[in-house]
Amino acid sequence: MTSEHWDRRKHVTDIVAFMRVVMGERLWLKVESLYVERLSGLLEDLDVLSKYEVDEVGHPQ
Amino acid sequence: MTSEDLQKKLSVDRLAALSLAEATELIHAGSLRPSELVQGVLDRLPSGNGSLNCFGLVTEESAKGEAHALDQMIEAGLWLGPLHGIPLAVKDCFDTAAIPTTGGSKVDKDRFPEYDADAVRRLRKAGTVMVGKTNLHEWGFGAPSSLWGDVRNPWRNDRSAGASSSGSAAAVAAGLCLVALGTDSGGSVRIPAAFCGVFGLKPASGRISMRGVAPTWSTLDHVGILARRAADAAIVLGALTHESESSGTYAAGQDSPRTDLGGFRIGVPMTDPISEDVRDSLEEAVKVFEGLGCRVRTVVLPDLDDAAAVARVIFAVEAADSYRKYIWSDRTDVGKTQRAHLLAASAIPAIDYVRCQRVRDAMRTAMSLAFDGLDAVLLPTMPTAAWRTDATAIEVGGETWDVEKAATRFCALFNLTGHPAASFFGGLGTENLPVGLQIVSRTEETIVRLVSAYEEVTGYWRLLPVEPQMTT
Repeated sequence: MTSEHWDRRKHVTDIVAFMRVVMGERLWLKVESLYVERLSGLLEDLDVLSKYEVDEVGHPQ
Repeated sequence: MTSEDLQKKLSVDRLAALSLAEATELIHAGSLRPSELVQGVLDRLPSGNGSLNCFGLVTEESAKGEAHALDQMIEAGLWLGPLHGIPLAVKDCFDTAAIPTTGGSKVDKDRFPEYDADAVRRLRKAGTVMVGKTNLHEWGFGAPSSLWGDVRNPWRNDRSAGASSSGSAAAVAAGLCLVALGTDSGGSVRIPAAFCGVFGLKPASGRISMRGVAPTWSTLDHVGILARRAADAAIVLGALTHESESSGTYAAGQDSPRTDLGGFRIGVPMTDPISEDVRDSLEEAVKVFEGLGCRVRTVVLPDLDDAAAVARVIFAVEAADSYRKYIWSDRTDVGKTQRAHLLAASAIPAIDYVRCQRVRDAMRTAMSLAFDGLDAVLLPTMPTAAWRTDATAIEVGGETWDVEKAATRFCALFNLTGHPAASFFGGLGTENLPVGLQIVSRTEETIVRLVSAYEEVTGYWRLLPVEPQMTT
């Protein structure tokens, strides 16, 4: 699978749903808005990776 | 104020204005006793710390005891070296034996390490006297300390003191210690140094041992040094890195500043947008270095914003790993913001973390190429002077920037590449707030030499916040 075929946001949405179940509703509600804000920031940061496609040994492509 | 009180205040203020190198000279000459110097600092601490909140813990009794012991050593003809009797402050993420080390978090408020961190041990052995543990962002990221709250800027109390080593920077700026230890994962030494008007050195990656520095998460983290000027930090670096663990001296720190820099080649990258104050300081610094004989030209660096983005992801994921036991815990003393940061980072796919590390490798290579034909790179530390403590975004050059992104923008690349980098005091801006400029090089020695010459010409390092300005 390459980055072109992989939907990071879909992947993370699945993880978030899992976390919600693991944490339980009470704890989850305490952190949800901060968590979503923080995660959005990190996902935005990760968008820069598309500019730096590198091969297996780190050479730019 | 009585005449006696006034004399005491003048004497205490005189001590607070000393650089480390000046204090060393006085102690070595027998004109100042370690106990006098330490007492001078301790006398300033109640009011200084009261307005700045830069210390979480003051170790007054042990400091007095150590200072008297150092007096006696001098009387017996023993001098440990240039750090003999120098008051030191230590960020509260460095382990200190039998003294609480909390990381600024309620979670660890009763943590008493068994041993000193390597850096603390070396500086104690070299004769420094620890006067206290400084306030920091909780665990070094995210929110202000859940134990002590935020640090205030000594130049204006309504302005940010910078990032996680802000307690150390504010303490140095306010004369509440002569040197302080901090840590820097994305600018956490250089950012507060810039906002508080002091010198902040992030040495090369791996140059100073991180053992005993909590948390031990990060491939980006460095022990850093905060001091009034470059030569002071160089003396401390010597003690922290000397092979024999003696009080080893560091040649660059002991020389008189050399103002002939003929042959040095400095690159200046494009860093827009920056404020007018920062631009003016940068342009002045270019003229100063050219006047000292340096050749200055433009240089193209790896994209600074991309580097900062990659560094934020690496930092966040590695922090989540370090504090993973708190992510799912039901402890009520884990702050909401910290838990949200850890949770968010734990959702980042491993694939992306690894790719960030690969981009980091590519940036290291690109940075090495950028240094071809250069001795140093000069750029701002921050895009503006200190912003308001309650700011979540800033306007600069017609653009709006989230403060977290603005803060790490010019610093994080050098945490990725591991190059030594330092913020130095580039003068005061229009609001009488310090402007920080940054020098990056392959060696700390080059940084110290360049900045020492700049300091000698401009004298900015001698500027002090007269009294902490309370603004409501």
